[in-house]
Amino acid sequence: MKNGRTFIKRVVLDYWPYWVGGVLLGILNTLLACFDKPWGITGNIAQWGLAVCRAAGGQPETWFYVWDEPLKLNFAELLFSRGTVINLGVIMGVMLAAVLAAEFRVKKVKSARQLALGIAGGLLMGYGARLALGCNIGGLVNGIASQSLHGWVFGLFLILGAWAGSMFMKYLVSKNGN
Amino acid sequence: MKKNRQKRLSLGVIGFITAFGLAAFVADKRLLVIWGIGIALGFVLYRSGICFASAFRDVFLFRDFSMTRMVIILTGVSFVGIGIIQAIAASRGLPVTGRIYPVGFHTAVGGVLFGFGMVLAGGCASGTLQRIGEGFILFLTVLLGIAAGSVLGVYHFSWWVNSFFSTDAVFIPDFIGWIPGLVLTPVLLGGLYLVTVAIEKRKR
Amino acid sequence: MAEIKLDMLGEVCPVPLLTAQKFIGEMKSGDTLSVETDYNRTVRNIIKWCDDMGYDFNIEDKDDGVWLVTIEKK
Repeated sequence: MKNGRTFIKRVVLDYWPYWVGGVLLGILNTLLACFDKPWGITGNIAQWGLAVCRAAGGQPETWFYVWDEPLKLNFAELLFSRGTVINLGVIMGVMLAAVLAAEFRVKKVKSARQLALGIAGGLLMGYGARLALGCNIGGLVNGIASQSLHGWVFGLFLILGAWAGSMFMKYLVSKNGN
Repeated sequence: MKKNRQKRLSLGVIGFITAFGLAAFVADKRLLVIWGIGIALGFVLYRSGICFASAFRDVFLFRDFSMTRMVIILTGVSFVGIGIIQAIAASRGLPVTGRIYPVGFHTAVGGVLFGFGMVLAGGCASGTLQRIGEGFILFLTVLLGIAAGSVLGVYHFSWWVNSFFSTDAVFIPDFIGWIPGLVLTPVLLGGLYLVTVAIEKRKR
Repeated sequence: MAEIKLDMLGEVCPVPLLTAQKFIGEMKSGDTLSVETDYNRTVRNIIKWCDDMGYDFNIEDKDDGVWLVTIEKK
């Protein structure tokens, strides 16, 4: 089974080492910071949620919040806002890299359990990111990089949450017959 | 060897990127640059296989710190870049830029919930976008979950801030001075990096 | 020589590697475990794990974005 090693050379080493990715993301993040603010993701997703909420008759504009970019609740305005352009750009950039390598594939939902975990995880992430004012990138990386205390506090408690989640996942897999 | 297998898909993706880029340019010229940076971010995320959830989860599950070190490197490079921008702004008497936000009990609660959620879902916010781009149907529902959770989070935010300890944004150099701040962050990041190397060495 | 096959299509981290670890723990030396996955990070994770553990492995490119990783327990 030695040709496993040759396979790495042919395809998997085409993947860039993590540190190269880290350095490049840091440079791109700095470029974004030249345009007003460093990289952030969830603030924009929250604004889409609020826009839907307002379209359904809610009044989210009256809720107190610290926004990282101006609150836009009109779908057309939101589509061509900085946050949406970055988020959609990330999705399309990933897709571009995948199709160029002929690795793109529509991946079906595996099981009801996976779907339930995904929705629960999404809800917790959305709620948590809004309380903490940022996600891994906007809160942790850029909080620390901007020398804001909240980045360090967020990171510390993030580790706690990730530990609990890891133990939970380990328990689920050990219990499941799969 | 297998370069041409998804040629038509590739052309479709490139077509969409061009079309949206033009639309963004018409809306606001700066958006075209932002669009380009977004695409580049996605490309790098995929090619280098970056996953922020893995940086915290795999430490506990597999004693694997390789992604943790990536996050530390990314933070370090960003610290240098953003630090320069902040210094230029400060020297011109402009307000300091970056992501500097209030901190308090809500930060801690948010951190725990976010950390738990990203492990359950199998990807954090950037991971969700990344996996949507790779074709995971599942992560469209995760994205909807993030949006719905965010609405609730914004709605409850004032309650958390008013009911528990919270303080205005703490910009570390305001408290310890510019020079100590410029020393403290790299020392802490470098220390963490060395800790991850030491733990991994001990396991072997 | 027992052979176990895991269908991990559509699964995300950390499920494939955790499951593989669970099964390899119950296997005897010389048995093989094959994992079918459509997630490139899973391939990368398994390779790193095999390197750490000293297992031999083979990767087959089954389709666009589908890989079959076969691991032999030593």
